[in-house]
Amino acid sequence: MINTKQNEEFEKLQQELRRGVIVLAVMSQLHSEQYGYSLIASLNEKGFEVGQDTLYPLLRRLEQQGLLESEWRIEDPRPRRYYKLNETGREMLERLKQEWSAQETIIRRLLDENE
Amino acid sequence: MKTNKAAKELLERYLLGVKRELSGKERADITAEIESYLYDVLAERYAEDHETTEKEMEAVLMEMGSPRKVAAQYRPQRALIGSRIFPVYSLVMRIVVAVVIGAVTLSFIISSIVGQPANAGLNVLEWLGSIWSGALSAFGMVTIVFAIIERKSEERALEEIEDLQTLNISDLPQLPEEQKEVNRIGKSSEVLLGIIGLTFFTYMRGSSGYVPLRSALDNQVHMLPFLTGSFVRLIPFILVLTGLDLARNITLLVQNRHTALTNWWHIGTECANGVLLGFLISSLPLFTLEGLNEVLGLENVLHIQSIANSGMAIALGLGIASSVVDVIKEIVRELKHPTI
Repeated sequence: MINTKQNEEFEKLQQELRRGVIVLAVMSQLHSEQYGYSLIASLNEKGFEVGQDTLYPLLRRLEQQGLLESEWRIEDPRPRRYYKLNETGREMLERLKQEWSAQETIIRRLLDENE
Repeated sequence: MKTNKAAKELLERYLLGVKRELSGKERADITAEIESYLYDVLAERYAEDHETTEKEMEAVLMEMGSPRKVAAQYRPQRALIGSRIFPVYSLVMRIVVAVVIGAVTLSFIISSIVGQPANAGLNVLEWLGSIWSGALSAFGMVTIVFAIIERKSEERALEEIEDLQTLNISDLPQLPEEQKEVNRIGKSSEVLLGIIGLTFFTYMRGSSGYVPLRSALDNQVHMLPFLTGSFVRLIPFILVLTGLDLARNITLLVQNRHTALTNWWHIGTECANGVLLGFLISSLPLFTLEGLNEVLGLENVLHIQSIANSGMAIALGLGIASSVVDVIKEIVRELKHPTI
């Protein structure tokens, strides 16, 4: 029987697991430009839950790392900041996708060993 | 999407709270992005023609959490004190340092009163030295304690931290007057008064302080002295200052908001006003009613003139005190919370 303490532990481990892949999830949605709220909505709709408190600092960090470009634009009727992958970001995403596939294969094999 | 005045003010207070928790040149940009996100959330929840109320805004802000929590996400991860306990660390540090400075100052005051008279300059230096070493020790001790807590409580949720994550509306800072919208009726009245003042003093300068008055005795218009020569000499300065104030009020009406420029402009003209009032006091008497005796046959004009000039001296003195207080308040506010 899973008690409350174990539930809390599970949530923490789940968060750690998700923290590792959130960069990949966010970058995968930025081939076309998106503003913060639309990106959250898009990810949540596809089953990857992310909040503004995680997303906005991450976008800022990725931009500082030179992987994204952003631009403020006044549209309907207030300003929004739009983000998009740049050339370096697209290359980085390709490498991360390959890494993800390799890791997924390895993890799948490890998990299957025990079944 | 429209927002009513109370909801807009609540949002501005919240954003000001976030901005104060952030540092660095990106804080305006981060705050603007949070504002943009909040409007997107409201647009998602309510119809396009809906006017957001204060309650609805409060609900959205409660979901966001306290400004401290929001700002903490943007801070870089500290090696010694993590972002999870950094808000508490910062709060405790401020309290401890303030208490240490207060205690050292109090003991300095008491020892100055009851102790042996000594060199005042050396006493002040000793006091500054004690504050420096006390604050430094407090900083070191608090940092060490929190570094230990950081290591020991990595997996434990601290209730105090949870409290700091939750938004409490009454904790939000009030908006400084200058960040609120311009009072258009008040400013329009000031513009009108400024124009009347400019017209009056331009005329008085041209007439060298004389005013026309029809005599009851011979039914003729006479030019009577009203302002003294020393007052007339100061009129060009009055015109320049009135013009500057008028221009500032018109600027405020056009842009409908206070900016750093209009606030510092106000501080500058208030300083100059104080100096001008000082010159006016040193130029007393400013009014003369002597001509009234001859033209209208009024008696006791010298007595009335004396009362008018005494009243003017009191008014000028109060004006200088008010200017000084106003300038100090404005400078402190502008330095502590610069208008953006």
